[in-house]
Amino acid sequence: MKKSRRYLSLLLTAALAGGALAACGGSGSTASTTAAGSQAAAETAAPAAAGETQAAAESAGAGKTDIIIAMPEDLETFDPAGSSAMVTMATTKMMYTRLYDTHDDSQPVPLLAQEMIEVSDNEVDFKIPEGVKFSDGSDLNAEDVVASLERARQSPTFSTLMKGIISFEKGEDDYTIKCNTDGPVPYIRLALSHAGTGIIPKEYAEAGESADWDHPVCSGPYILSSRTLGSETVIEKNPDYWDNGGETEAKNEKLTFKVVPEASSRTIQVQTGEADVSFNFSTADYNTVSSDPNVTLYQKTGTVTQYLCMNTRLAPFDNEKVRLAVCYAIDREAIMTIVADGFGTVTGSTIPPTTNGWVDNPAGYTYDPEKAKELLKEAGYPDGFETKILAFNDLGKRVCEASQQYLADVGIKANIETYDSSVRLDMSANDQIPFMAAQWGAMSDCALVLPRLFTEAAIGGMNFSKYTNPELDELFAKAQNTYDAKVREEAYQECVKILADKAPWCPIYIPDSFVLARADLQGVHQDGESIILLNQLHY
Amino acid sequence: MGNIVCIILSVAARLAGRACTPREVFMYKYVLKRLVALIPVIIGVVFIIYLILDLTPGDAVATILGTNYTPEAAAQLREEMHLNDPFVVKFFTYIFGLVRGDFGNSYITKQPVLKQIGAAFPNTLILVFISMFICTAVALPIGIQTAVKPNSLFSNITAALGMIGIALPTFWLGLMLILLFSVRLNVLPSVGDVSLKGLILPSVTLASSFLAGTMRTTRSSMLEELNQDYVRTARAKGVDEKDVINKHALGNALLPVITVVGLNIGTQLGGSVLTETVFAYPGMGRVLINGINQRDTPIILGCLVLMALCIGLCNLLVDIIFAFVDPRIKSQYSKTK
Repeated sequence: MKKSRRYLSLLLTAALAGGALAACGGSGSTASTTAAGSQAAAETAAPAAAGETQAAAESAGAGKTDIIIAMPEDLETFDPAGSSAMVTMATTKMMYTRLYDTHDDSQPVPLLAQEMIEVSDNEVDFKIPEGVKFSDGSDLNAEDVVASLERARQSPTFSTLMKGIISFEKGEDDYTIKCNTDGPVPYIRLALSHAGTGIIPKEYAEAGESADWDHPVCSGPYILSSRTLGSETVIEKNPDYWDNGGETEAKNEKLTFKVVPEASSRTIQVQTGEADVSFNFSTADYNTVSSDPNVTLYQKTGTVTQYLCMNTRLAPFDNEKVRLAVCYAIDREAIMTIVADGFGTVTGSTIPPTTNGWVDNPAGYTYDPEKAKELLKEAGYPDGFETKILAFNDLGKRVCEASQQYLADVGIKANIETYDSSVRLDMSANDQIPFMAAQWGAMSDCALVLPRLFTEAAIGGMNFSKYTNPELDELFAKAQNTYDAKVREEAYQECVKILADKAPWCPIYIPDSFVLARADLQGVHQDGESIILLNQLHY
Repeated sequence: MGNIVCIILSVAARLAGRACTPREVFMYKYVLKRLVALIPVIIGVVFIIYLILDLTPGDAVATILGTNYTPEAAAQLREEMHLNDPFVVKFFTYIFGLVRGDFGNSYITKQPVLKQIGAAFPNTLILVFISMFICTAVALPIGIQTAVKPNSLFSNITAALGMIGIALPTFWLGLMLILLFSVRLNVLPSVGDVSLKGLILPSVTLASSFLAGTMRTTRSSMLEELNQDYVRTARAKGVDEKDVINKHALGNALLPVITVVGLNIGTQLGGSVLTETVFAYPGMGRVLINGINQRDTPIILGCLVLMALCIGLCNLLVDIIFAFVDPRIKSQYSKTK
């Protein structure tokens, strides 16, 4: 008996060890995946296994008119101005119409605004069509638009988008909206395409906290069908939508938003057909989906810049040469490979290519540890220095870990500290963040990007580097005070060059944006904020 | 107060057409005392959580504003949400609201907390009870069998499997079960919901980490009883082995198991978060995690108050069951008049 117990124990131990070793083995295709993933393409579809075509894919979706979307979190509210969370914006964009919209190229296009009249530098008028109805049958007119936009303008969540706009009023008739501004607002169409400017009935806008958001009155291509808190939300095609028959008409009958917090679970849902499309694809699942003929992975150059931020008011990062040394110390390609499996584009610019004013690596950063050491020596740190680098989420932590060795090679000993994201603003206000990894998603108009990051007014907010520059302020004002696209482009390009030379940020890479969908699902496109155009999805 | 209870119970019993037994009176007084004792527990939980949240930096404003955060917008929002009020004012406002049954509104969704939690809480209860049912239904017979035949192959294998169940991370196990049953075999859904099929994988995953503990408690308790004199006597008198185990030893052996199961329910209520996240199960654990990530104080407090209440009630239920099952406690009532 003792002998048999011993043999059994040995057998079980061997089985456990064998199982652990087998689990640690990979598929061996990571290298090829990385090489494939580093192509920075315009929106491309990565079909299943090589040689497979869509026709060969399981066509379980043929004829299906209800689209199921797997989302990472639940919708927070049906109030379009109530939340800036991606999931909420994706839903409210479908339920409420806006004056403008954005498509793949991030440029605003007219939606309800049939005409825009630049009356003067301080007034812009918009004309909307007659006969537009809300889902309860009531007319949508200028008063509803004014109430909705005024509400968005005054809400703390969206007021930064409306910088320069003084007020909205009803114009000369029931279908004209007058916008009073403090000088030219060249990004006004982009601001009015944002989900927060969704048009709601005047009564809802004026009801304040007593508005009944459980029973929203919609103006968009969809209306609310049902909601199970924490689980799913269903919206169905609005039969009274003003653009039915037009480009923005819903091409499906119903959208079901299912809450699936775990990224791998969302991938599995699409693979099994329980969902048709998913948000926030994780590149860790790339190998899993690349050999699955039932799904297609759409890949697009993203709008988020991953960067290292340096506090320009704290030594040693108050020294420009130290900051430039960091920019030359790191190998961007390697960090992108480690953190994002190579899916993205390395960058030396504070804004992505989708934002006006972009310049490709204006300061000519390269991976040059010798130059970094030279710069540190000139700055008075021949032996380097010790500092801490902070991360406020998992992605930031991985970037810190990937960067740490490169920094150490030039003499910068960066000790990683991780904190919850909710404490970042307080810590920044108290100058407790000398150096950190962060990400910033940029809109297509630079007026809504750089002034929110590099002005005195933004310190205490999003200006974590606490960098300001009178030259930048002049250029921001110059670009703000004209509608001339060429003048604005040149001004912002100059800003980008200054920021590269002064290096308050060390930009690293722009991760690609992915959407995973069933192979036979058509119409998969993303707008300027990387939100899928859900009304276009169909089989 | 005990006399008032007696009077009320006597009147109720008269109306029902019979008198309350001493045991019933004792039990009712005992239950009432325990329920009243929960009140300071809840107040203590609220105080500690509120204090921790108040002292730690950061609040919901950063989540609400996101990248649109500016100091001016944040100041305006904090004023609107009364986040600048002194701690004492906020704490007592919340307590007085609790007394009225008002758990406040979520900072993020502006919806009543009870509405958000009320949709999720029953789902978590269902998951936990099914998980405990599976755990108990599997662990009890195995525990008994391994106690009856302690050195058998079956005993060794189940002990090893039980340790594996404890060692495996819930997160990993859940994903592996999804890959096998949802993706490969396509027999079960990959996302949990409150349906028979949707509950299988989440409840098995949640049960796995408690199986070993329950098995071992049953086994050791059973072994202890089987070594008692009265069992020896029963065997000597020729009682069939099955009756020795089921009729004589099992009842006594179950007492510690009841305690463990009761404690496990409390642990699972708090520990279901991982399982709910992996399976996207619409339970209270997910609501709590989201609330913590977003620094949504009313949601965090609402979830924790409910959990504290449940754990307190579970412990009370275990004690009541003990009082009915354990003959030693039963005899105490008959002495109490």
